[in-house]
Amino acid sequence: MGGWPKGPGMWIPPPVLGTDNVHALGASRRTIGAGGTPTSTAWPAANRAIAIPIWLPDAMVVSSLFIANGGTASGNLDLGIYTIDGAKVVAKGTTAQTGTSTLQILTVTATPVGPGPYYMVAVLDSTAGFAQAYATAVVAEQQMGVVQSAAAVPLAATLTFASPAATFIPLMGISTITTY
Amino acid sequence: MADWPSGIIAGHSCISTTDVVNSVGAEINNSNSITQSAAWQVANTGVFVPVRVFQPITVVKMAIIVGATNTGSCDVGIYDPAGNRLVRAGSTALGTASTVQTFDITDTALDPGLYYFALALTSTSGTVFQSAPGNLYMRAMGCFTVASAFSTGLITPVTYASVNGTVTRFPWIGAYMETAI
Repeated sequence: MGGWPKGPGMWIPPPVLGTDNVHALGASRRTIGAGGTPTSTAWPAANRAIAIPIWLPDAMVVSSLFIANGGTASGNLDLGIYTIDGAKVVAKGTTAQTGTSTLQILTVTATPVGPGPYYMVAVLDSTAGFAQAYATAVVAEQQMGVVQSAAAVPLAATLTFASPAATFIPLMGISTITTY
Repeated sequence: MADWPSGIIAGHSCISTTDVVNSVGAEINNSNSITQSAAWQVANTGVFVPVRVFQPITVVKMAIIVGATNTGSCDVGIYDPAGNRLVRAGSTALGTASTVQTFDITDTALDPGLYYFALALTSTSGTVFQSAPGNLYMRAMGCFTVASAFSTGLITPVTYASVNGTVTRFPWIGAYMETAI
């Protein structure tokens, strides 16, 4: 059997799909009055996972995930992709937060994800660690579909999502490449 | 046999680095980084912006927007993800200030896929319209830089490098499928 056919109208994944990509929060933040660049912000609660919705029109082979660290690195983090029902698709595993004011890129085994809706998820086990984040109002987060979950590091096989409780959306993402 | 799968067809006569669907327009919109005249930050360094093409097209012209000061020369081109140059305009003096500068490139067919639109200026006194989201944000959008990308024009091949702190903005670059701009 041949491979997935290529031709007019086929979706091409972005090389780096971050929080503000059209397949993530898209233009929503600014549309609802929450635009702006991220700032270094303490993780809101230890072992709280923040989940950002993404929509993939077709399969995307994910080779890495990243988070933009803030001014202080501390504790351990994990990054992953989950279905909207809370099943883990792929995650890196426990990783010390390292590097300040830079992207921390975590490589994973190349994993096809999609098509469909998913969450990209980040968790940190310490409020002493900082990420580049948007201080978005909870109502705005709810408008965009951002959710959270009580989650230890490493990310579990299943998560139960709940309404967001903090004005905090990290700059994070997934990628088809490992250097960027 | 299954039906031919349908997908996204994003088609109009121009694809640019500020397109929401084809490039990083959504990110720029969310970051409130307006596109405006700004000096090129590092002479001869190329800035590469990811652009997705969803259907076969043929690019016949490219364009940039010259800012308030038109010192020096520039080159604009299209590269593949491996760093191979597919087409370039060639070294060209920066055009009239505060106007769209067009380049009549060799007609180039692009299949559906990922490409990088590139621009390099020879002088940091030259200005073009750019968005300034910061280097960290540019990395999160998939942009790259290449030091010394401009020799007698944009070189090939290139090795993409992470956007470091000296580059914090990227240019508006357009590619047209028609000659009337």
